[in-house]
Amino acid sequence: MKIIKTILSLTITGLIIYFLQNGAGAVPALGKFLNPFTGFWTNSEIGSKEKDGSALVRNINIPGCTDEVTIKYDENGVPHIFANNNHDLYFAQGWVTAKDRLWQMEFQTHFAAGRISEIVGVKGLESDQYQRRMGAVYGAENSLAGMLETPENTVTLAAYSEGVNAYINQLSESTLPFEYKLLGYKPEPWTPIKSALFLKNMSFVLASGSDELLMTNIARKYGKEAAEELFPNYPNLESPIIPVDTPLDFKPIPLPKYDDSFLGTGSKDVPAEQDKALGSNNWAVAGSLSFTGLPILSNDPHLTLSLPSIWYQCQLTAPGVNVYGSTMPGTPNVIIGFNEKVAWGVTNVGGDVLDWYEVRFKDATKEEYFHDNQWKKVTKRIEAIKIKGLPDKIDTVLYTHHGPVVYLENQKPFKNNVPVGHALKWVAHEKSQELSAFYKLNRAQNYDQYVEALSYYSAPAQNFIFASNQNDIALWVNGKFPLKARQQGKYILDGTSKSADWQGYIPAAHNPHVKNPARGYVSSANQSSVDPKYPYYINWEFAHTERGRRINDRLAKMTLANVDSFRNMQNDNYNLRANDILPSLLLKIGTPSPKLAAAIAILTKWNLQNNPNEIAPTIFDEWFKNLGFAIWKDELDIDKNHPMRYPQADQLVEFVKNKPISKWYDDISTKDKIETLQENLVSSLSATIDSLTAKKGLMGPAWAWADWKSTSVKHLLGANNPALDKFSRLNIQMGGGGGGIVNATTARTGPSWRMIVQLDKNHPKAYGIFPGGQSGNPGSNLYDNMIDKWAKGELNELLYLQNGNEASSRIKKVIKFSK
Amino acid sequence: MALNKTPPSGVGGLFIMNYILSKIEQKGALFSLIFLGSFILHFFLPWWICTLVAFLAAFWQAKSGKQAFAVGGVAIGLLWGLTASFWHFASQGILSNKVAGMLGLPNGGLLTAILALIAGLVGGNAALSGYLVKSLFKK
Repeated sequence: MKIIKTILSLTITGLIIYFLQNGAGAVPALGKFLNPFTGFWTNSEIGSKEKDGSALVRNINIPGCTDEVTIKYDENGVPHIFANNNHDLYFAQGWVTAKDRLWQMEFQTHFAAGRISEIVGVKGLESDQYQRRMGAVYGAENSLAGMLETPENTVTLAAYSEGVNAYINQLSESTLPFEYKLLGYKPEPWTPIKSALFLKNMSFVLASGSDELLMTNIARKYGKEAAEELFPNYPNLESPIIPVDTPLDFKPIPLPKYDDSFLGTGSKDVPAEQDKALGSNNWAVAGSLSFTGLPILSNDPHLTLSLPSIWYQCQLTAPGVNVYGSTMPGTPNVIIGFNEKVAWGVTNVGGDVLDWYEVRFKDATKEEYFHDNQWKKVTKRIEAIKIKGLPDKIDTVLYTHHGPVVYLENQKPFKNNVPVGHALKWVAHEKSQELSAFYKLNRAQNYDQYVEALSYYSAPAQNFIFASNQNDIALWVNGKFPLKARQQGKYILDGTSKSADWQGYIPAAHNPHVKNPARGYVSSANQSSVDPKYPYYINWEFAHTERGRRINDRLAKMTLANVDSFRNMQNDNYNLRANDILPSLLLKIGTPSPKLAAAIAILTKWNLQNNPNEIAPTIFDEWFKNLGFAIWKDELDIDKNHPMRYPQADQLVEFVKNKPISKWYDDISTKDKIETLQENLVSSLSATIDSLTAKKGLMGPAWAWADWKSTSVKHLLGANNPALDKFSRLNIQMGGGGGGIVNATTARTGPSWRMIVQLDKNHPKAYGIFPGGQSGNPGSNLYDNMIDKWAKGELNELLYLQNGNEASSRIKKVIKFSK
Repeated sequence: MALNKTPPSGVGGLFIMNYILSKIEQKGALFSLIFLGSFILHFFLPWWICTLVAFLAAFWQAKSGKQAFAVGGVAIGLLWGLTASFWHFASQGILSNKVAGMLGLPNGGLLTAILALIAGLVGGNAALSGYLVKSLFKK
């Protein structure tokens, strides 16, 4: 009896311990995670008590610095680093970034490198294979080789890595960042390739979109003429970034010839897709239009918002540099910011820097492919993907001289715009010097040094806006752009033809640019870089024109611009698309039925502002979307295996306003009936009311725009995992809207950093905010402390110290590295 | 033995504390061994070290199975519960409330209480096992 009791007791104890140690099924290993001595609890930050307002000073001995370094943290947790040389400066940048963002920077570079399966197991495999097959690691290796060609980058990258590693070496079981405890793994040493991977990943985020497959499918089905009618090569209404008739200050080289008669095979077999509405803005006015008589510059880059925040603010000071701005955790230098004399910012350029080439293999062995009238050897790159709990997956990727054949027939693409059996030519695969560009921008003192810095930058191409306290303003549409014939790469290209290859690049000095235009301002909002007279081809399609047009309209009327008028513009909720199309919609729908009349009345009274409590923007946005479905869906979304796309929004506006009759209005699924535009308008508004009523109840406050749009900032692990909702901020009450509104915020995207810099002869004044906080630790008050202020459209005054001796009551904590 | 008395029926904290204190007085050695031993070792060793401490302490000191289970359970439950409460209250639940949400609980306070219960169960069973194993050698 005693023995049985003993065995029973031991077994129960053993089972409980085993379960808590190893977890079971979906339940993680809770023993370690919940242990109040070293588990997640110890990541809770307990507010430190300040005594009489003076900052807490802590000296720490960290091996690796060559001289003393002082790091002052302000009340928002922004580190202000004062170092005596570049090595120590970037060492400290690596250290402070790791201290606040180690898990994020490692996770994002693991993602970029196609190594998520190591952490989450087989469910990460498809994403990993996609990253590898698209050539992410191949590109980062090339990129690193390029960066290491200059001594300053070698020092910067090595010092940054040393700083990150110094922090990793300090960690104990209890100070390990929260997410490592949650997922049950540990950080590995940081190396320069990770910084390169991070920079390359920006090309994935901003310049990996491609519509060639979808366009080719459309041309195959309806003919190239119809495709060109629906997808014109310049918008109907546009206000290009480089003002029309800006004189050229270079002699253009002729565009290559290219035979555009090739029509690719298009889709062989593929599944579904996602939509994005990013909308970055930047603008600057010259002293002639500003209150201060010197330029003011504004920038708000838009990205998919996440926690920990995308950006990390930092001030970097050492001999030869004193710069403040937003950095990207994982890479040295400030990416968007200002120094004593200049300020700069970026928005994305939708340049066509990625093309697909249909490959003809000799036989099933795929050892050779046909190009330029001869059989050429395929090269192979082996990608070994480690998977938690399973043996490695060995993936062999074939490369032609263009680049990787991303998916072969019988492989299922991770994204539906990737054609199978096609080689990818992408500027992101090339050796590049982005790091030099930022290193030099951080130190630039005038326009010429800004231009020199930009010459090192290749991808992802950005609209680099600039202002200096010498009263210069400028904008360069900057990056490495392939030298192509017009519209070359709008459709899939012929991989066997030499004339379809890229014929070099547009010379850096010929990139579109403008300095001190007569109109007194420069701006960009991802719209067309140039008007069609520009001697080079950048792309046939850019982002919606509305934001750019609206910004330029407002700037044209601006006098005595100041920080507040700029802030007001960043928060502009005016719906220019509604302005363009709503009168036509209301006119052409005819006499509404009683069901539609209430909605029509609300739309008629609307002041066209996408404000949080309005319901008109909800109705308009849904109606416009449903109208697109009504007109295009029957022709352009018919077969999941042959994905196509819809024309851009401004084409829909053009059709409604100016094309009373078109074959596209007919719903081809109804056999004996030809639908008219008016019928499409009625059915789409009716569908809008039905779907809104079904989701939100009867028309009323429940249809409010902010709730319908429901902007959320989610934890990196919580995008599709409601269990982590408490780590995210959901349904933030704010106005704005999709890519057509200056204050572009959608369900998951929005301004990831807002900055306004007022240049000054002595010391600039700057303001900024991002949706989140400096700390990546969900157990810190600084994890998401800026979100509410951000949602209200307010900015923080940025603390820009002149030097290490300047005192400020905003400094709350000081860390000194001794030698 | 004190353990033969029924514990106070009230669930008020005062009664529980009184009860616990009376136990500590009587079984001070066993309780202190488990509580303090685990407390110190938790800073260096994995979480399950507390089960080993409870097992060995009960093997050495426990007088009965009931006593081993009760004292082991209270010691470890209290140790984990108090430490977790410290973090929860001192940080105003900044992280414990989020983790509670992740585990499907309404707040970090309840998470702390459940954690104390689980820890108590683990400690109690480990101590009981220690006593029972020892008793095998006795006769």
